[in-house]
Amino acid sequence: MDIEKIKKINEMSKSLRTHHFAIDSQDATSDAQKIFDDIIPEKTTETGTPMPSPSTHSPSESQPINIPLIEKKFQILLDQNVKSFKDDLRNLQDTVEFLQQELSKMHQRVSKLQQPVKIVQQDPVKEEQVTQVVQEQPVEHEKEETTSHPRSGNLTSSDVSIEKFFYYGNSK
Amino acid sequence: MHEETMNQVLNNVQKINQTNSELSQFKSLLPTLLEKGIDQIDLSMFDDITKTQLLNVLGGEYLRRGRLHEAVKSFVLAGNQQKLTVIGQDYERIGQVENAIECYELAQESNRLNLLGRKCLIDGRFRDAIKCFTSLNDHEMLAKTGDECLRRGKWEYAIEVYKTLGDSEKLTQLGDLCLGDRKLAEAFQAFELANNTNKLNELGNVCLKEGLFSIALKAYTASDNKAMLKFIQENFRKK
Repeated sequence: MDIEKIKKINEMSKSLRTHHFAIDSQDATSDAQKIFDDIIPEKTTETGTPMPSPSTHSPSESQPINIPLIEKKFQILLDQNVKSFKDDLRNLQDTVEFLQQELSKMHQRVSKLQQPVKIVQQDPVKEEQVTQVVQEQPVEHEKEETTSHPRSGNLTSSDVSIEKFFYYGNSK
Repeated sequence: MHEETMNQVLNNVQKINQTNSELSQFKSLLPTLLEKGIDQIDLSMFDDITKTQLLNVLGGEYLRRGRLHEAVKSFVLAGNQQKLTVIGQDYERIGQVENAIECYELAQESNRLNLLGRKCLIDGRFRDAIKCFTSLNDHEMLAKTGDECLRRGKWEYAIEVYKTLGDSEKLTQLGDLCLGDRKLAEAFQAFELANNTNKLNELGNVCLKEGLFSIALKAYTASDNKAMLKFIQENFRKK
């Protein structure tokens, strides 16, 4: 280890302590040394050519290319994408079906609403008849309501004479 | 230069802190994410380093729970070859040799593949042995496996081996053995792969004698024996 390097490590350890990255001087020195070993080789040499460092290189650079692993990774990602695409498509289908149903319901409602209007436009005499019928219908209902009684039925008081139930003659 | 280095250190520390906080957040969500499944989790919003760490955490948890299939997926996506080897060993331990081979292939574990292939060969698991040696491109061991298959009368596996090796001589020898064993379909396959027209004609004649017109037709077609093809078509078409 040359003197310049030691100086740099000392400076770095001081900085680490001032920035509270190390608890004590021993930690600071060891951390500084690690950082120095990791980072400095990355820097270019005096000649300007990059200095290789095994610790800073990516795995793809230091290890041979693993084609089966890359293929498998690609396959998994492809499967995942296909799956999510299918899910999206299914959701879209469901939404379209729901919207179709809603649309048909709305069509039905609209056609129902349009039916009386058509009658009015086609024949005004019929409309009167319809309205009359409509007016007559509640009266019938009222009549029915007055005549029929859920508890006593359609019977009048004369139908059920008290004499039919009680005997007023002499006892034998 | 010193300041530059310090800035770099500060940046790295900040990144590490950020990643750690993200990881701790992620760990609290881990049970839910595990239940959701690796296929349903979207990690595209994270940078590569964080994503790899998260996938490793997920894979580790799957491995701990014995969900090896999901663990393999996680470690493949994380590119963690060491863990894939560990899973391969687990598969080997529980007797799922096919899965173990796949893991070793992914982890590029040549030594383990070689050992497993030899073990499979001894145990008579020819399919797995062939897979191991094919993956290693080990022609010597493949030839040994082929010979062992021949010795034990495992014609299909022997055909597979010699097809991989491209050994016409062995394929012809194998075809003869199959013919002797009345395995006519296998014999046809072997002679066809060996591209041996004489043997194919011989096979066609045998089949014709025995009234097996479909194989005879195949054999004559492969050997391009137009005369015999016409003879079958003219005389035995209705049959």
